[in-house]
Amino acid sequence: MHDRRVILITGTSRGIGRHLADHYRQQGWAVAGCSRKGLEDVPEGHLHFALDVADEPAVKAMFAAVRERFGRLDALVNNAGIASMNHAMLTPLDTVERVLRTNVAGTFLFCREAARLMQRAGQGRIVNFTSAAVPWKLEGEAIYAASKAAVESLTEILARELGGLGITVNAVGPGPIRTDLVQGVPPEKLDELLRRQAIHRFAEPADVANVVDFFLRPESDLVTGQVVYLGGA
Amino acid sequence: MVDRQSILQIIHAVIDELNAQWPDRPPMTKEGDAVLFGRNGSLDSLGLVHFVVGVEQALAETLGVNVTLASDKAMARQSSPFRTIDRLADFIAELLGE
Repeated sequence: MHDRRVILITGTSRGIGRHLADHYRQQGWAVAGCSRKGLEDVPEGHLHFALDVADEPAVKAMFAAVRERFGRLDALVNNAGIASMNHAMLTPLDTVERVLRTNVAGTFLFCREAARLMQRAGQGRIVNFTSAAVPWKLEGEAIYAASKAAVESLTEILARELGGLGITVNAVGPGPIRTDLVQGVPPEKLDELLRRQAIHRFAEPADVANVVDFFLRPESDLVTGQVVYLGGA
Repeated sequence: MVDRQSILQIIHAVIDELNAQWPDRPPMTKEGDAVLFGRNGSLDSLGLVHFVVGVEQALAETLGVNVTLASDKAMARQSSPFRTIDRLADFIAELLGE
């Protein structure tokens, strides 16, 4: 079995996922990541897979490779996600299916496979990604918010189903953060969103890492089924 | 083609592993007609989850095959493949033969 702690992070080609992969690698974790496209510069010791997070055979193959390479999995961070901003009356069904497939089915698949790997050790940490779009009930984000509401339900129920196995399941919900997901959002709209927060500033990837760090700490073994929104959403 | 005896060996290994993990529970036995789940079964619902996951993982690790045992197809059967060890071995052989 690998002597370093092993973390699997989805969506590590850019944005928060890439930041988290670097953050945990610097802390001495062995990192397995994935993204739709392969990475050109895979860091040494980093295991990277090019896959669709909702492609069941590919996800199973990734977990088999992680098991073979490391023999353990200590933490999973379900960061991969896609957004869609459109009025409900203009949203095609294709978009609905694509968002639900990546955000809900993908998160579920990784949780399931991770739990199977973690249960043997009797411990594990799963961190899912939700969004402030859920409590804010944002107009124009019906499908994205619905997908993240589903992730919150998954988090709360899996926390109960997996609690007896020593696996905690929590979620972090960033507000506006400068990533590709908000690229198409007008600046005035982002300002309006920031004003809804208790603290009116953009979240940084380091703010997200701070919450994930807390969930991953060994001392957090009684913290489960929780959703933490950054900025006071 | 995987023979039935190999499948039974995998099931028995998982039973050994679970018996070691659960010293406080009555041990599962390996007779072919030993009832796994249901009336007089040795497993409760959560125990069955552990057992099925263990068998799926052992099949993947030992034989390199990925099968989903608790599928809609399995659940829809009038005669549950999880009732006894023999039925489970037959069901796995059927899945691997497809």
